[in-house]
Amino acid sequence: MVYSRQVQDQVLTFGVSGMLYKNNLLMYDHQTESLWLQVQHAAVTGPMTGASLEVLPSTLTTWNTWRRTHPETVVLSTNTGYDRDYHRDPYAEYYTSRRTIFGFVRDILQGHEAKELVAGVRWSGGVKAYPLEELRHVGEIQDTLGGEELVLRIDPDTDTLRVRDAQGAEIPVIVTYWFVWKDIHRDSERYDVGP
Amino acid sequence: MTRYLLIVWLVLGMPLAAFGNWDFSRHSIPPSEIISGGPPRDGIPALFHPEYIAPEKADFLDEADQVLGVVLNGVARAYPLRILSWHELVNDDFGPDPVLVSW
Repeated sequence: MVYSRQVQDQVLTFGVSGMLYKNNLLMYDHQTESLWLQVQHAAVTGPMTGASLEVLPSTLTTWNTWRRTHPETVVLSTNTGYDRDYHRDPYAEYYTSRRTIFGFVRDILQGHEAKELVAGVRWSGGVKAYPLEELRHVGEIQDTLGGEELVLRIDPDTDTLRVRDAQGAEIPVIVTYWFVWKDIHRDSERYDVGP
Repeated sequence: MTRYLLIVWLVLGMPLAAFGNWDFSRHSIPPSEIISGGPPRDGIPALFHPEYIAPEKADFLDEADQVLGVVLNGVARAYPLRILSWHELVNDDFGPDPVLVSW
């Protein structure tokens, strides 16, 4: 997910704290050393507690689709200053071991794949996860959350996800793994197609 | 005395050091539920000076690879998950706007 690093009149830089809260990464800002919960983009300890980062629009899609729809794009270089094998996925091992250590995660998955990607919406007092594959398949989902109507739409050409309320105003959405979302939002509903 | 101090350090200092000395005097989640994820602070290194290349130079990417795409201030950038997975965070700028890309 993509955020602004500006909080009020302060520009922050962020690092990885190494600490976890309910399987979710806590990042920290160098300026105040507050810990921030990534999935809620909010400071949860330290001087910045209660502050939050503005979510900026981003698109999770394939390289092929992004390149085709944004011919002017540039791409992050592997010349990062770090010697890492960018052909290997560090998560494969990481999540397997994590699931072994934190076995309780399995209990909250309700039979769904832990690493399934979902679009998570927290809005109008409601919390709900929409499986990304289902959204891609149907293109548009009209739903009610917290008593208010909302529409999730994926542009089939650009693979861009937008969530809007009945007036057309944009609603923030987070795309993440199902187990991450559900662990943080234990009360989250889940959108599923009927049998 | 030295040995005593060492023991005090081992008992009190070690867990604190492993915990990173974060300031929990203010908090909105229970600090007791904040646990070490394995790697130490900055063990997963965030990026601060990202470099970019043209699409035709991105030999390391396959067509089906997932990327996080951002368009801001007329600039379009793709962040491959292949790279983000190793760094979690990219501290970036789009013109005048300071941006954090996270995965």
